[in-house]
Amino acid sequence: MSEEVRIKRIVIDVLKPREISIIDLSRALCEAYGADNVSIVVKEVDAKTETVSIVITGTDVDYEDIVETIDEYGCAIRSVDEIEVYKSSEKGTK
Amino acid sequence: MSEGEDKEGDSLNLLELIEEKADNFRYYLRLSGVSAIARRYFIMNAFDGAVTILGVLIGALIGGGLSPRIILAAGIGAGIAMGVSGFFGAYLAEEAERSRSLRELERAMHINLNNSIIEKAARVAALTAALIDAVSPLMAALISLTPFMIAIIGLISAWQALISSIALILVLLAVLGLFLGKISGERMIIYSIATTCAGLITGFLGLFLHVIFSW
Repeated sequence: MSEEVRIKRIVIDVLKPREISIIDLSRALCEAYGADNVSIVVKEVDAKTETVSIVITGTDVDYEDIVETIDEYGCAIRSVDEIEVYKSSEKGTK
Repeated sequence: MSEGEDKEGDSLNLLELIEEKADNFRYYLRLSGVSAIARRYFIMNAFDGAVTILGVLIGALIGGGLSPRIILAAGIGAGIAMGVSGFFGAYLAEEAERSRSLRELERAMHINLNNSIIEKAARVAALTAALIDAVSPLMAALISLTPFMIAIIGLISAWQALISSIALILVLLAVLGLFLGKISGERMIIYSIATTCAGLITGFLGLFLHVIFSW
């Protein structure tokens, strides 16, 4: 039986324009494939930008999908700070 | 699946698509903060449209050509010119402003924001402001000229059309003032009196034109 490594939890540091609200951003990220829970914390506020820490948890978080949404919202990933993966024998339905 | 169900599914998809586009549009408007600018443009240009038609009416009256046909044509012509100039003026000004702030944001973030929601919102904002800038003077001009449309059909005389048109313009100016007062949240009457005064000042300045022409 083939096993697949899946992302269970990921913490990313993101620079976002101040116009983009974290409510809209968190909603959009929660719609990404495999994301069940999203939490965002504002860490730093500048004149035009904000640095936020985003925690996404789920059964099979699709990192590419997350990156796409973050790009779409005009945000930039500065670093991936934490990651938690697990091995699953179930085949993904993506 | 039968053909009927297929068609029903298609129209449902179309409805969902329209709803999604409308949601995106609303989000872009909210994100770009264009609503306040659009409101300003609307009032400013409707005001322009109404006062310009008042100018056309006074000019026609002093020139001695109170023909509903000529007044209507000149008024609509002026309305179209204001509409076209409003569209291009507002679009180019908004586009220039927004692309400057977008480039500033790009420099602050060290990324390219092309195709991002922020860039799309900026484009939608410029286009919305331009459309409002184009439609509002034309709409005000057409409302102000309604009596002359009725005069062309022959239901009222040219003089009656002139008086009702001037009254309509003053009412329109007063309503725009009330709208401004509502936005400011206070002094609705003061705003209304101020906008109506603009119409009256146009009328008084028209009297000077009369003096010059009768010389």
